[in-house]
Amino acid sequence: MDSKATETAFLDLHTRFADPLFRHAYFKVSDREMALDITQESFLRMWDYLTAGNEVDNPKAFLFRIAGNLIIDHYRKKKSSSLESMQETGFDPAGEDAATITDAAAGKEALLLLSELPEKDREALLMRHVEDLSVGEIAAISGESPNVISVRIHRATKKLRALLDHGPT
Amino acid sequence: MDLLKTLKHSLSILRLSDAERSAMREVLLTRMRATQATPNIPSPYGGFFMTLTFQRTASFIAVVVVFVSGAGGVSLAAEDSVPGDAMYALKVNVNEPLYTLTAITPSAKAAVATSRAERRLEEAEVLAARGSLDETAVAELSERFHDSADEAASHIDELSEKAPEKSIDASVELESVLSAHGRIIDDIIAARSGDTEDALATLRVDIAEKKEEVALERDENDAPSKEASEHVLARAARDAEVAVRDLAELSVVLPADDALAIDSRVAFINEAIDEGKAKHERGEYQDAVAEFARAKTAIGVSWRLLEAKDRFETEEEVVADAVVEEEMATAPAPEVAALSAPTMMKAAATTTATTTASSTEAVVENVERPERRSSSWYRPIRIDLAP
Repeated sequence: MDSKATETAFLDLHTRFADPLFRHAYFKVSDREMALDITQESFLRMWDYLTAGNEVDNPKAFLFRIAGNLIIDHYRKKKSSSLESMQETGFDPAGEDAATITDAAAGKEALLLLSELPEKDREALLMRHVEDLSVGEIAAISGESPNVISVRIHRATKKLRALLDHGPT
Repeated sequence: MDLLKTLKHSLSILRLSDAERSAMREVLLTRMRATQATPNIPSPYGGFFMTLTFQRTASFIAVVVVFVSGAGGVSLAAEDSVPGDAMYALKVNVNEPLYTLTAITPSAKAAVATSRAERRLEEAEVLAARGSLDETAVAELSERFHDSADEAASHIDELSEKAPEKSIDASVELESVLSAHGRIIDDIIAARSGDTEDALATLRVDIAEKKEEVALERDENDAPSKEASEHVLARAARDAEVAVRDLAELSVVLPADDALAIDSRVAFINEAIDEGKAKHERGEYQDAVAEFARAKTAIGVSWRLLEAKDRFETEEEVVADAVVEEEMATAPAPEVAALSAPTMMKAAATTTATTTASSTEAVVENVERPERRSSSWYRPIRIDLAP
């Protein structure tokens, strides 16, 4: 693969996975700038990993794992809650057109419901149903067994449906 | 629109703006050109098989992730307590009444009462697994279980006239809880003997009787209308679709015996849904609802068995670790068999607490561990997943 093709292939990964990775980071750190930094740093670290002669078979899972470590670094430096503070500071989408603002309101509603879920269940649910990661991928990223992940997703989905039926507590 | 699709749509607007995307690509390009390397770039579709390999590797690597949370407090800490723990009174006398207060509608009240009944059964299972379920604890748990199950049944009954379809949903949920925990307790009894077995046997009979009552009351209600049958069908089909997909995916990565059991469960759920649809089409609404209830109970039981399986396997590892720690701490090796169950569990709890306290960041270790062996009193509990 020549250098141009390499660039194109790597940027293609960025096109595909930057948004899901950014969302994943944003849900955890509640700070748009910080989430952008984590997203960018994840890609840079993957590039460095590849140029060191290593191979990656599943780039999406690999990027989520790097981002997970960076998020933990962020927590170490600055203790902050995630979804709870995001509800207070606001849902911060890119763009300000009417459709986006309407969607942002729906997004805030969704966050309100999601904040009722236990953290690990919520994370598994978001990875599965928002970021389209498979149970196996989530298990690999989080270091848990597929069984645990499946149970968490099921439990979170069920709780979310119950919250929709009865409203948040 | 389906709940999960709505959620995905609502959250998908969280994305990079065009300017942010371009700026990030520039940074990446600068780094790429600076290194002048041409590594193999993985395919974006890459793979499930890698994931499996990664998973196997991960089993040898301890990945400890502790998120520092601003939330929490005494009430949350009490949530995992069991009878005999200092925090248990807080759990049942403060936390749970608060949950009850938040439930306004009869179906929400039924759900909360069902959940309370299930918590009592889970607590009995935890104590039994630890070998510390005595007569006093069983009596207390049994009384609380009865109170909550009766309360759930009363709300279900209240719903049967106003909203029969919701009454069916709530009744099936309660039946799932009773079926699943009946099965789990059978498996615990198979692994334990003596006082624990006797104590559990009483509770097991209570569960079976309650389950029979719930199913009987549902059948004795007036035949469901076409609308009620349609409602139950829609919910059952939706739940089955999600459960079948996730269970099928899970079965690919489970050990062969468990995978076979899960596959049988998936087939059972699909069969019940198909039967129910056929009966609904023929206007046999009572029988159709019974089939949908069968499918939903099977789904609820499947997940609860999987959850219990994970719970006991985790506990088994903690106990095994405690044995190893104990052996390493004292030389020559101590008489492991002489340790009492509570001592073992205390050691296990200390091990967990130490790990948590020292791990406020992701720690990836690849440590060769001493060979594990369980103490003589501890017999692993094997949850049978077969339908």
